[in-house]
Amino acid sequence: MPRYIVERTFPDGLEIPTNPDGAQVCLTVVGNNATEQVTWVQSFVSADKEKTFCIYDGPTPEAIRRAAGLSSLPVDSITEVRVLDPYFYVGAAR
Amino acid sequence: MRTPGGDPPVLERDDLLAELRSYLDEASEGRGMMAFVAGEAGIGKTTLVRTLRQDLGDAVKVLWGACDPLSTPRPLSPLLDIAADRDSGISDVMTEGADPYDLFGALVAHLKSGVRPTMVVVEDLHWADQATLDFIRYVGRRVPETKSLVVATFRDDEIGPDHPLRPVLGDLASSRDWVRRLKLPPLSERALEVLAGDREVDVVDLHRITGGNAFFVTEILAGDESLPASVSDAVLARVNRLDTDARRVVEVTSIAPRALEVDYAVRLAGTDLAAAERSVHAGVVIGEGRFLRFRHELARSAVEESMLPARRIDFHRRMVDLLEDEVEPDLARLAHHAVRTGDAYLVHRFAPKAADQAAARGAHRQAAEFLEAAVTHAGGVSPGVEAELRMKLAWELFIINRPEVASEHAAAAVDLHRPSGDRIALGRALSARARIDWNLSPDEARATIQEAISVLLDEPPGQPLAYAYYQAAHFNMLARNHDLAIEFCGKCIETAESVGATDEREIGVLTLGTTELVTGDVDRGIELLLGVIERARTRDDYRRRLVALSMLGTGGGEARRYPDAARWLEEAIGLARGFDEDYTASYSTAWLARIAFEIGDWDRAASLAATVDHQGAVICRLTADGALARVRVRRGDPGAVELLEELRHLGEGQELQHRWPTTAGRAELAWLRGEMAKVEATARPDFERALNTDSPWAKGEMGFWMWRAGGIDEPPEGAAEPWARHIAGDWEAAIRAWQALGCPYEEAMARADSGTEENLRSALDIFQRLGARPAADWTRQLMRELGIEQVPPRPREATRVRPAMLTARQMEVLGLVTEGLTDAEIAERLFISPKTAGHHVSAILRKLGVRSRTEAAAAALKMGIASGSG
Repeated sequence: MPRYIVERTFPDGLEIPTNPDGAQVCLTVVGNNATEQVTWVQSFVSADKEKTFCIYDGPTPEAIRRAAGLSSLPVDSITEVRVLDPYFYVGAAR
Repeated sequence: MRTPGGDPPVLERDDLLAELRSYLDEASEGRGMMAFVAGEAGIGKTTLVRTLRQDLGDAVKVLWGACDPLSTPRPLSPLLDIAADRDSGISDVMTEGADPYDLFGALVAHLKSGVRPTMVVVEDLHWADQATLDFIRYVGRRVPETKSLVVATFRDDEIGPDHPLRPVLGDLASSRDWVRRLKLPPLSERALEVLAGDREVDVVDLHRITGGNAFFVTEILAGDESLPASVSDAVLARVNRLDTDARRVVEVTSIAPRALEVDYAVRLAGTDLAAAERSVHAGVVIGEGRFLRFRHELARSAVEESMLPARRIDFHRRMVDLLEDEVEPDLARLAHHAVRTGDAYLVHRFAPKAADQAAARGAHRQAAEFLEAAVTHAGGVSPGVEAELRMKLAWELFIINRPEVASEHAAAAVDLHRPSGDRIALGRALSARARIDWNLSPDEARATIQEAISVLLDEPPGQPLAYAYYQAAHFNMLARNHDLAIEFCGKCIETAESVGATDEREIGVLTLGTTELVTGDVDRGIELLLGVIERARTRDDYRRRLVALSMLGTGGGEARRYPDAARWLEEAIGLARGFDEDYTASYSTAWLARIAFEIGDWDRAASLAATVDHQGAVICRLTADGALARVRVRRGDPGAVELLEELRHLGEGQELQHRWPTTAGRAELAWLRGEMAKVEATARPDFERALNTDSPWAKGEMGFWMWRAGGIDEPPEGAAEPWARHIAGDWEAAIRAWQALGCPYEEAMARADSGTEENLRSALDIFQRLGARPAADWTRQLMRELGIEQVPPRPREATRVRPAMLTARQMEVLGLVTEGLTDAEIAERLFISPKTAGHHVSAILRKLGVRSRTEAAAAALKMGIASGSG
């Protein structure tokens, strides 16, 4: 399944409290993703909490958009990416 | 007569039996189910279902049918078995030449009506003819509305990747929760121990030789000696212990594919009933009613193969004699034995007739096999007869999607007709060949149809000439050659009317209407096609109605008459689904996706495209995935390049009408990436091809990309109005035209190109609302270049976050609900069916946690969703 980086903007900042409510928000997103065969791998959040860079596995960019729609999450752009691990090349250099 | 000692006990099948019984419980509650029972030959599939039937007693009505192990099975063989039961609801419908779908419909109606639940068993689907597979698909889709369980057995180790059962399984077993697959596992060593009873057998060895196959185990345990090397040896050893007469009965029984009438067996074997009884008592064959049969196909083929070929042929020949004396001989059965005699005379007497019967029942694969046998033995027949056989074979092969072989036979038929002087026969063969060749090489097909017309003009006009004119008109319509298409339509209709060929007249009008729709007077085209639909409706001709509706929908889509086109397409899809016309349903859905793309409803375009089952048809894929690829291009999403490249390869050799939209998508992608040189290189070839057609929209859009790349300055002649205005720089007219059609993206492009600040700002609004990031970025850049101050930045996406988790579509529907619109009105506004509108509304009520539309409207206002804001 392809991997994507999904960029999102939250003008008021993304606040997910570390409590049962916050856990519920994440579970809801995960549940919505599942209906589109989309997996939220992890996210990076800018220091001002206005931008997020989310790593997703999903069948198509359309599925990523539908899943975002179900959770009312904004989508700025979707980029298909590959994993690059610098330590993978360590052996090759010898 | 019964096998002494009865059948061996049924072991290790309790779980599967319980599973099937639970399905029957569901079914008796009105939630019908279908179960596919898979397993290798001899593993005990039939025994499993028979045991279930015995356990059920009278609580459940059972209808039982099996497919023939004939190389060319009898069409609808399981339904023939079922129809023999007076209480099946189809015994009166099952007549010679009955439409298969009438039969299917009658049976399903019967399954819905009963008080008791019904179990329908169809055995040995791996041997099924095409019509039976159509039946399985038909009943599989409708079984949840009945009180029945349909059990279908097949050998999963005998269906290769190309087996015709595969797509049926794929279609039914995936995503339908009322369809289940069960697999019979081999028997364990413990079970073998129980079966062996007091006999001293090495169970581990027995398990190794038989692989736990119930039939093998029974056969081997029935022998007296030590374990034989193979099951075939075990079977033959038992046969050889019989006396000569009984053995002869067993041998003749083996030439019948399924079962043989006892009296036929006795007569063929030249013996008496006592010998038949001895063969049954020895447990080699089973007596069932007035039939003898082998316990298993494996035993039958072991015996059949042990006979000398000369004796087999002799039996087949005498079998033909016996069957021929019947009052209503079974044609497929006769043809089966006739083909096996290798006697050309017998093959020709029965195979062609059996082929006609098979074709009439929709069993085209079987018809082709009978005809292939007839063509193989064509040595002694006249060229005219051989040509007719090859022509029929070509059609059947064409229908079952083997166009290359079909084309060879059609070419041979034409060559056979040439020296005969029968101009009409030659002309018909040429017409048919042109039709078959069309998808392989359009240019050759055009030359062939031209020859057909000139040959047929040597004779007084008749139906064949009208048909050839229709074919020529159709080819030119597809290629978007307006004048030629119109000319041939006129000749077709005129000829058909003068000779009273009603069918040819109607398809002539249908083609004329389609031609006007795509390259001429759109309104006249619509009027003509609506006339065809009306006449087809009064004649109850659903196929013609369906063809005309799909022409209206797809042609109307091409002419950008969106609301009407979407309505016709929905109607075509509904009609197609009702008759399992999957190809038309798919192609119409693909066109709905294209329309959704063009009107800017990209979520819907993408999800529609994803539901299109391509049915192996290139044009379904080009249309559906073409829309999807262009959605990705306009959103700036990944996966556009790969998909467009794939479609480019797929489209090679296809008509321009199916190719230019994806070519335009590639040109647009290059433009959005700023690769201007690539825009022209991409657009030019199909632009030049478009100039040789009369297609306004192909000329328009391909011309637009040529203009964008600086390749042309003036609109090409005959380009569609909105594109022509845009290219000519008549911005306001272009904007109004796109607005009237309902194409927001194109409207925004015209606004942006106009260069006025007001237009640029509204272009940016439109692009942002559509989610067209790359085009919005382009517009912002234009604004900065023009020195416009305060260019709006990329949107604060969060302003689009929707309250209460409503989707964009639901927001749109909610907006219309607050305006007080009904489902039907919403449907009309959004080009969707009222049912879909209803689904949206109930989803909205659920998400808002309200009970009525009024409450929903109130909630919407409270949340600040202004009326009509969608």
